[in-house]
Parts: sequence; C-alpha cells; structure tokens
Amino acid sequence: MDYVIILALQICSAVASLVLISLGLAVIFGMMRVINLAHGEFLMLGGYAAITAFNKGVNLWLAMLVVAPLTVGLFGVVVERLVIRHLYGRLIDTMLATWGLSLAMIGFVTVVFGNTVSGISAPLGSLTIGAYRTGAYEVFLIFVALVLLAAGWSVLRYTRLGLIARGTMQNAGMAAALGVSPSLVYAVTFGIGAALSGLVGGLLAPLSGVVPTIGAAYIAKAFITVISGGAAILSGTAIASGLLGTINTAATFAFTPVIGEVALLIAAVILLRILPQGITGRFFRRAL
Amino acid sequence: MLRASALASGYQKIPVIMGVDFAVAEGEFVGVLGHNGMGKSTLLKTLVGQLPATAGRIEFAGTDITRLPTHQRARLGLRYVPQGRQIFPGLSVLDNLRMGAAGAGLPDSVLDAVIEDLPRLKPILGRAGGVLSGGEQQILAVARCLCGQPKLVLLDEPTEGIQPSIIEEIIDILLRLKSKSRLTIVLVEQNQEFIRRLSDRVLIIQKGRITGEVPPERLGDPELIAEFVGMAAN
Repeated sequence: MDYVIILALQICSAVASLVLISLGLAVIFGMMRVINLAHGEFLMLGGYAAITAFNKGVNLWLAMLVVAPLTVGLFGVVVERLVIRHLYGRLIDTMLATWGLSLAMIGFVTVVFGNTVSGISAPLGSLTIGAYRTGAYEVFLIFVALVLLAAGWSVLRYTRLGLIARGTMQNAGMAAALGVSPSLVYAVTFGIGAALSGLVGGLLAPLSGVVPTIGAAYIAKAFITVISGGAAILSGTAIASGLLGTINTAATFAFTPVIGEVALLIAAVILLRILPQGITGRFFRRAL
Repeated sequence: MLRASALASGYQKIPVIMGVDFAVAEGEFVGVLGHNGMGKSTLLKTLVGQLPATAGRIEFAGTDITRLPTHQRARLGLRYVPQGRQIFPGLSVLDNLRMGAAGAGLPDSVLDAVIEDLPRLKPILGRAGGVLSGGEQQILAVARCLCGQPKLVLLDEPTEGIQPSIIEEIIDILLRLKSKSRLTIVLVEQNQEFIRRLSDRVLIIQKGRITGEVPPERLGDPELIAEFVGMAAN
C-alpha cells in the first residue's frame, strides 16, 4: 500500500514538473506562435534571481515566489519590445534570435556568477509514508502546478483579459479592428510567459541547484510536452504532461531512470507520428 | 465625418487604389458600388488601417488618421465589419460580442441593448462562432461592431454568400439602425438591389477610383447600368 502511494506521488511529481517547466513556453508559443529557444535560460535566470535574493537576506519564499517571476517577467517584456516584436510571423527568425539570446544569457550569467553550481536547500523537510520518505517540497510543487493550471484557466475563461487574449490569438487583425492593440497583448503575454518561467526556475532551484547551462536540461522536455499537447495551451500541456510523466515514472520504477527518459522520448515520437497537431489538435479542440 | 483625399494604396508594389476622393457626412448612409477587383475591399482596409496608405490623407471626425494603427482608429469610433465576417471561431456568440465591447473599453452591459435589438442572437449566445450559418455570422458581425458603440461603420459586402431571406433581415436591421441611432454607415457592395434600398447616395468605384455618383433610385435603370459598364470600358 505504501509502495502504491509513493509510486502515485512520484508520478504526480513527474507530471507536475513537466507542467511547471512547460507552462511559460506553452503560453508564449500557444498565444503568439513564437518559439522561444531561450525558454531554458528564462528558467535559469529565475533560479539565479531566487538564489541571489535569498543570499542577500530575502526570505526564501519571497525570493522564489515574488523576486524570481518579477525579475524574469520584466526581462521578458524588455526582450519582447527590443527583439521579438520586430519578428512576429517570422518563425525561423524568432528561433534564431531567441537562440542567440539563449547563448548571450548563458555567457552573461557565467561571467557574473561563474561556471559553478549554486544551490539552496529545499524547505519543508520530509514526509514519511510507511517505510518510505519523500520531500514535502516535492508535494508542494504538485500543489503549485495545480494552482497555476487552475489560475490560468480561470483567467482565460472568466476575465476580460483572458477574453482579449483568446480573441487576439484566434484573429489578431480582427481584434485590432475592434480596438484591441495586438502589440500590447503580445507584450503582456510574453511578459506573463516569462514571469511563469521565472517563477518555476525559482521554485526548482532548491531541487536542482543552478548553473548557467541548466536551461539545456529543461528545454527539450518542455518542447516535447508543448508540441505533444497541441493548440490548447493549458489542457494540452496538462494532458501531455500527464501522459509523458506517467510513462517516464512507470518506466523508471520498472527499469532505470535512463530507460524512463528513453520511454518518454519514444512515447512522444509515436504520439506525434499519430497526432502531428498534438493531442488537442485532434481532441478537446475547444478547450483552453 | 470621414474624408479621403487623393488616397492610394495596394499590395506590395501593386497599386489597387489610385487617388480616391470622397467625403461622408455625419448620419449619412453612403453606398460604394463596384464589380469584383475594382478596389472596394482594399479601400475599406486602407480606411481602417489594415493596409497602409501609400499616398493621400484620411480624416475622421476632424483628426488626421492616415498613419494611426488600426486599433486606435477603432477606438476613435471608426469600426469595420469585414468581408467574410471574421467571427472568432472558437469564441461563443456571447464572447464575440463581449470582445466587441472589450476592444472599445466598454462594460459588458452595452451588450444588453444590442441583443435586445437583434433577437435572433438570443437563443444562440452559447454557441461557438465557427458553427453558425453565414447569415447568423453576418448578423453577429454587425452586432459585435455595434457593441463598440461606433460613430461610423464600414460594411464590406454583407450579402456575400448569404441566403436571400437573411439578406432581407439584414436590410431591416440596417434600416432600423439608420433611422433609430443616426449611425453613419459606408457600405461597399456589388448587390445593386441591396445598396439601392439602403443608401442615401451611391458612389461608383472603378479601377481604384471613384468615377461617379448616382442617386440610389436610378440603380434599377438598365440605361444607367449600361453607362456604368460603359465607363468601365474606357
């Protein structure tokens, strides 16, 4: 019984971590069709923002939940104004520009903080389930993933901001003819996507530590999840994370973590072969 | 209210509108009649700012709007019902209307009066815009535009691909708007019957220029139409 609970918890934890690392990318890609290759570095920046603030004496929770998203969100708005907005509708150019940005950010952070791993210990201690122990912080992250999904869904579904975002996503030209400034919507969306990445980067810092090149560890999984999820930003990301996270953890438990990773990649390849538009390209099309 | 002077525009290097001059007074209903490819839609797209003017000037309510982006023109009250309706397919009818109000920064309460005036929308408020019939979409597109409380409405071929019974309904809706709210409307069409029944005056557009003005009651006149086609042959 304890084994089942711990396995279920591990699966939820793996799913939550996919949701978390993909969400910022999903918002930016889903809303604006911009492929942000610097997504991993946005996460990295969030981690550094949280750790730096913490080392300067800021409360850890404040550092992770406020400083990290704010820093990266503002950075995202600046990047959007200076670079991205000149490249809308030019998919390849935005990929190239954000890739360049990613390299620049790695270089800059290496110069400032050095090419070493910095870390902070995870708060909240541990949770004992029968003969097993797991970090309470990991359970907290499952909770955060659920809250972020629910909050995102509520904003899109019930607020005027969400309505404007959905309308602009479907037909930016028509939204403009109704008085909505697409340029403003895009700047805000990019800022929110970046802030989400910053928040997650901050939250993951206690688990993984930070190093300038840590983005590379996230970016592939984030992309696989978002592309597998398809057009619906939130439900697509949630469903793809659920599927891929479960497969990953099940294979890890049955075999080894390496086989787990391989299983995730194979599952994604098969999924995209059958559903090239992602899961929500075929099912749940009207979902958010 | 609206004045275009020596207005020119087009796509990339291909000029479509070549020096259009016309003015619309407040409360007027002006029809612009022309065949396919004469620049009707291009003219409207240039007026709303979806295409940049390559020369000339557009004035709206005393302001030079030639270089303003689309959304700012819309905020001034210059609103557009585009060809093909451009309903947000994934939004419900109600959300399409709310989008019209949100774009103008108006509260959702403005929807009530619009829905009251267009009872056909009431039973379908929850349906997705993308599944409606062409006629329903056209009525929704007009309603969405009205939710932004426009000063001037540009209508691009509202009868295109729509069954005759709904065309009658759209005529009724527009006639009511014209008499009740004294809305200024510019209608671009190739359906002569439709344009005749609604317009105070009718401009003829040919090859990117306004080539003449005819009284609407003469539009059924075959001689006039011959002259109109004859002008096209010049």
